[in-house]
Amino acid sequence: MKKIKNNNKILSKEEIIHLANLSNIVLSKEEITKYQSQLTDTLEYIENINKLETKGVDPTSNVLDLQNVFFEDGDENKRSLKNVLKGYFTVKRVL
Amino acid sequence: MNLIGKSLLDIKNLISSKKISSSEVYDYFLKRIKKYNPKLNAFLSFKNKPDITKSIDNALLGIPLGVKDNFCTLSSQKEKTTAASLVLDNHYSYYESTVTRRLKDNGGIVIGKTNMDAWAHGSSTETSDYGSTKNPWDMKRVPGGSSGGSAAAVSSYIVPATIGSDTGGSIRNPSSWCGVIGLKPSYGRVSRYGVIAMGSSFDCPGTLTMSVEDSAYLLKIIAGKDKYDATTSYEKVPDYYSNLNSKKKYVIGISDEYFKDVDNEVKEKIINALKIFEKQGHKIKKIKLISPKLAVSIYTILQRAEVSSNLARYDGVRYGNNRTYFGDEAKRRIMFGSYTLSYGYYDAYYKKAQKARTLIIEDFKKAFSEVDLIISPTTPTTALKLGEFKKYPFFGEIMDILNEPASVAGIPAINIPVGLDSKGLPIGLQIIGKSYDEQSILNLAYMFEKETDFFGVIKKGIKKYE
Repeated sequence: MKKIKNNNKILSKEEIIHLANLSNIVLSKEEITKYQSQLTDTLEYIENINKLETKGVDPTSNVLDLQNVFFEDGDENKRSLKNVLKGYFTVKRVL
Repeated sequence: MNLIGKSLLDIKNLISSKKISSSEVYDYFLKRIKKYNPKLNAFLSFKNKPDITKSIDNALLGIPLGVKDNFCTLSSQKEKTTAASLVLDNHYSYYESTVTRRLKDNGGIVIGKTNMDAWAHGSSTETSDYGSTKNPWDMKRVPGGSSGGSAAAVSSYIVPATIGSDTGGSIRNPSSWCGVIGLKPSYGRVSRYGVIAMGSSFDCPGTLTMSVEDSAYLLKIIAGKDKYDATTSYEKVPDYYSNLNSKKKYVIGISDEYFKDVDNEVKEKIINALKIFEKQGHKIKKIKLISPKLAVSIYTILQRAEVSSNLARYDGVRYGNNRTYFGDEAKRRIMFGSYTLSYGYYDAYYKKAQKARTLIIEDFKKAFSEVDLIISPTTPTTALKLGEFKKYPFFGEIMDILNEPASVAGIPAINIPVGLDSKGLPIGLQIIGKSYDEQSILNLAYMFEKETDFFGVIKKGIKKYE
């Protein structure tokens, strides 16, 4: 694809080996060289993200506005009300 | 009876009026799969007789469907779930995905599992460890991906409808290149339970069909709150199908950013479609949106990170083969994710992308305060030749560039065919909607279908396989 510009990070062979170890993946010599250039290319592409000013912006981990759901005592959670003794659940001996 | 070209709902009506039995329908499609699948490689597995079911006397009346092989399925016969990866070559699921559970509870029958890019990583179906699916329009070309098998199966009518999954375009891209209708619902609209996880904050199960009615009909069946997936929404599921006849006029937004680097032939057909929408009384409005190139970067960072985490469980200890069975693309993605999540880079990449994701969401929210729907091309080109993707490892994301913004924002989008290029390959148009507003998307697509019949694209596709 495009040539790598000087100001961008180029991944070293050692870094690729480190990443493979982190990922529990075994690489051949050829693969190390291949991924070195391919992952560097991808890194170069994603640099454009710095064009977006994100100071003071909250991160999104999930696109939904989900909130905690609570149930009133009732059918949904009746089971949990069984076998209660002095405020504790009683269960069969395990030991 | 020759069913050729009959939509899912047509077949349903034939069964309910006793003109044909569901077992005859099953045999009809089984025959077609046996005839055409050796060439197309759209199905990874199929069953010679239908599974025994409790009752087929309801919504789907025993109609056979294809399901992407990353949905866990149970069967009375042996049925693997492999995600097209050799890591899961011997994997038989012990439980059923919510989507297939709901289809089966409504009388649907899974006739087989469709081919895909391994782990849904890719836009061509070439990363499948079981060989690429071929594009039914041109055997030398890819069907797109990752739900390439699902799209090719509908396009060649070896099954009337299929289920796919869309993380960053994986339903829309192959629908566009195979000339069928592909709907990616809002994130959280359809349960991900039992779908082999790729990018958990993006993954959306959806439908690939030959008519808008079929999409609307199937979506209602699979959508809705699921107690097994905490990220599904409590938002009520409308009767998409019954509401289709809306005469509503929409304000449609278009953004120049979504027409850059798009082939001229594709552009022409989209502009032609816009003229038809205008003629129908809809209003076209120019809007400004953040460049999709930036959404690609956000998507790449977050999705790779989620991949590296999701694929960490495949250690070969509990089930499946060990990690030496991972293919090229999976390794590339896992390592890239490990990089952006690792010490020293987390803030620069992962956290930065999460923040930028908020900006994309807000950008769409702002746009949808001015317009009801947004239209763009689905893919910048028509189907590429086999092997072209391998030359550029990042190429897939570029082909999904117009799909990934909606995925980043978690909003719904559909692909509909709008014509053929000079090579005779289908061109797709994408309609993007507000969160949980699948209805408006389907309505507009339906109006277009009524007016143009998609310029006969779907029929022409099927005709090649008569």
